[in-house]
Amino acid sequence: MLQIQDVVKTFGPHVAVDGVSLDLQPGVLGLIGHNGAGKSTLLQMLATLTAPTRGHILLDGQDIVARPELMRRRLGYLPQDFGVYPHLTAREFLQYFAALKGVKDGRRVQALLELVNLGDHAHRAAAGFSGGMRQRLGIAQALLNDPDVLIVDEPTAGLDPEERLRFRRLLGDLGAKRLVIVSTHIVSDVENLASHLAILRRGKLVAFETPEALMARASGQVWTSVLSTEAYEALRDQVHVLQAQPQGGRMQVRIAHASRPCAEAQLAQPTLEEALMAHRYADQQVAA
Amino acid sequence: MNAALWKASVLNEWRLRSRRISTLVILLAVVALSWLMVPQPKTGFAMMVTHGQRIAYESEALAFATGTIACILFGLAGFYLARGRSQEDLRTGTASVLAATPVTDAQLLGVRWLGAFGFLMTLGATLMLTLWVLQLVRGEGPLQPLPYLWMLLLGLAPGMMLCASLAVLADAWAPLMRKWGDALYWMFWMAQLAFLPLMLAHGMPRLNAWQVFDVQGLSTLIVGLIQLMNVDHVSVGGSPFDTAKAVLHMPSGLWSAELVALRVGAMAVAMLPLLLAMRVFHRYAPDRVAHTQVKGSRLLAAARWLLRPALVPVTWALARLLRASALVPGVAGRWLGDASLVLLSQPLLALLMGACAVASAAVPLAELPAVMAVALAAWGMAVADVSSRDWQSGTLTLASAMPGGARERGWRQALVAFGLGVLVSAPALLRWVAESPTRAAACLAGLLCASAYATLLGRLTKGARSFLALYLFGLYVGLQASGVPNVDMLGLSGAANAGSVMIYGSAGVLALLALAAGLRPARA
Repeated sequence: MLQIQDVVKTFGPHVAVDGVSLDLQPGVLGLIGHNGAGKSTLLQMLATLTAPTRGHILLDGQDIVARPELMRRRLGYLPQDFGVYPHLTAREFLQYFAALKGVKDGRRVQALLELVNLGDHAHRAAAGFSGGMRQRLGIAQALLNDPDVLIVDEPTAGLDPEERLRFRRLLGDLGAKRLVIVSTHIVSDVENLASHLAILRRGKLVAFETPEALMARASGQVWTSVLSTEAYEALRDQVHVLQAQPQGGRMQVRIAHASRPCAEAQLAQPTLEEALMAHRYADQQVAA
Repeated sequence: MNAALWKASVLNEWRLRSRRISTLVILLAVVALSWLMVPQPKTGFAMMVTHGQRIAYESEALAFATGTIACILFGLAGFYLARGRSQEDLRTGTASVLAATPVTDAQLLGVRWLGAFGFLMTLGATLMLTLWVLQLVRGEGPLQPLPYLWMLLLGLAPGMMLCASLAVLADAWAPLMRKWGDALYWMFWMAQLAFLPLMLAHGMPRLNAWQVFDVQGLSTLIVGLIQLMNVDHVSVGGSPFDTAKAVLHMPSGLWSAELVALRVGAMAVAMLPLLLAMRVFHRYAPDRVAHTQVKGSRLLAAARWLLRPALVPVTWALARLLRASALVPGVAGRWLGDASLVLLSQPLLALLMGACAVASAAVPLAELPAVMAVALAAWGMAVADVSSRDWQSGTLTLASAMPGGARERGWRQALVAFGLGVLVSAPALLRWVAESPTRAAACLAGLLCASAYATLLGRLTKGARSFLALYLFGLYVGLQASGVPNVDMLGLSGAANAGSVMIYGSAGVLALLALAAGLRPARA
């Protein structure tokens, strides 16, 4: 469906995206990386906002860098930071973008407002919405044209836990029939959602695999233990502590380490976030 | 706040304003205008003329004439350049941080004022430096810095102080933070300029105490010159002269004690809006600055209540138009959507433009320019943010990923502005086509030019105010300078000719081509 072929994007001397290649099919892709890893730049290229310095992006075999309209007609895009026109109601905001996308079905606006739970707020000025409501309006906007490719950049920022859960479920449903690309540095957002993960580090693609494969590779590298405060203080500078929780004068810790870090340590089942960190530390060690 | 903090804060205010692209645009415009009004005498035109005699290009005269023009243009643009800091704070999220600091209201506003005034004086000083170059290139006597310095400190400074004070006031009081403040200031600026015809109405004018309220200083300076040269009138800014007559030399001594006292008094008057700003300062309280709350301010609420019978059907119709635009395929549908957005975002201006369009079909032909001036002022304000709205509201990225992309959006927005201008002017255009086709062509060319530059400047500066300042200045000058074709951008004074139509039409097409070529939009 969407092929990204050796895509490079530079800003002056800075290489933001460095030779990324991916072959994506319908499903949910979690695009993961730290701040500044190049996620947003890659998404902006996919959303035709900016052209790659080098490389090709093909949608069903057609070059969308040369012909961005092919993508725009089939794209739903929710950027990381977006605003709303201050004088429009939520309904008018969607109607405006429906006009730009050429969505002729007038009922779709109302249906999407209902879908994102904003049906009762359709006549309110969107500028007065809370962050979560605005985010939901943004996703409704992205779905207006029933897109084949949905790109959402840091979508759960500002959402409360209930909205976050609802949002994840919605993205999962949408991913059944189309390609949904979710960029985030909050790993739990894609843990139970993504069929594949693409991990970016300093602009390079360092992994493209299923969450299960990633976690399997990390098994045997995450440990748990309950330590005295003194033992914890002695150990913490020698290992990568993933989590430390005080518990009645002792510390319950989770540690990423290639071998047993201390005598009391027990192997633990890693979470996706821990698996990612374990890989990162292992890569750093190899590089060192 | 100690001295170091004051210094750091004022410098910050200065930096924030001086690093905007709009600053460069306006400065270049003022410099270009100042240079243009000093024509080579061999062209038969001179900068200052009295009774057919030209006044030599010496430091006294150059400083006076260019300073006078700078007073007018900086008097308008200075406000638009200095204001907007509160909106900037709100947009960037620093407003609440500022409000929670121990800095008092007086300190906060004081810092704002000092930063704005220092910034405007920097622009004035830069202009003066370029005029020194002008004198070296085109002058007729040795360069004397003092007349320029006096013009900067006594001619320009009071007006700059007033701009800074009113900018602080407009930023401090929520109802003035948006277009209402811009519109009111334009009216205020025109009222200030009305001092001059009032002073000249009764024969040989003399300086009088009332001129302390002419803070921009145009009438004070002109009357001061008339007194100094003992003549009954002087033309400033590119007038024809009689080459057979001897060249006059402007005597020194313009800055008499009386004139200096008036200008110092004007400085005191310029500070008065700060007192009001202190009283009404919102200090970023969410219930006072949030958009929905501003809508509810008593003054605007009363205006809306009065206009409700007219506004309700207008907004209803515009909402239907927006909905219908989705049914129109392709670029035409997107154009209609953008046009609906512009009108729906400011229904009051839409109403005013509609009323003017109706009036322009009914009024006698002689009254048509006055009606059109109001219509086109409203149009200019409505389309000033046709492209910067995307950036200001944070929707640039969203809108750029839509069909057509950022490139089409650029020229489409220009055509939206043009289309709305043609709609507003349609009755007048139809009447002018029969009476004076050149005038109709001038109006169309001017609309195209203004539309393209509204979009282009909005993209470059990420704001509406540099276009607004230049457009409103051009509109005013076009109305006042009734015999000069090249300043009759919109055909309002009737002086436009084929040449001026070509100039504005070509300038518009060039800007449109720049937009179509994909001039990069401001990144969100």
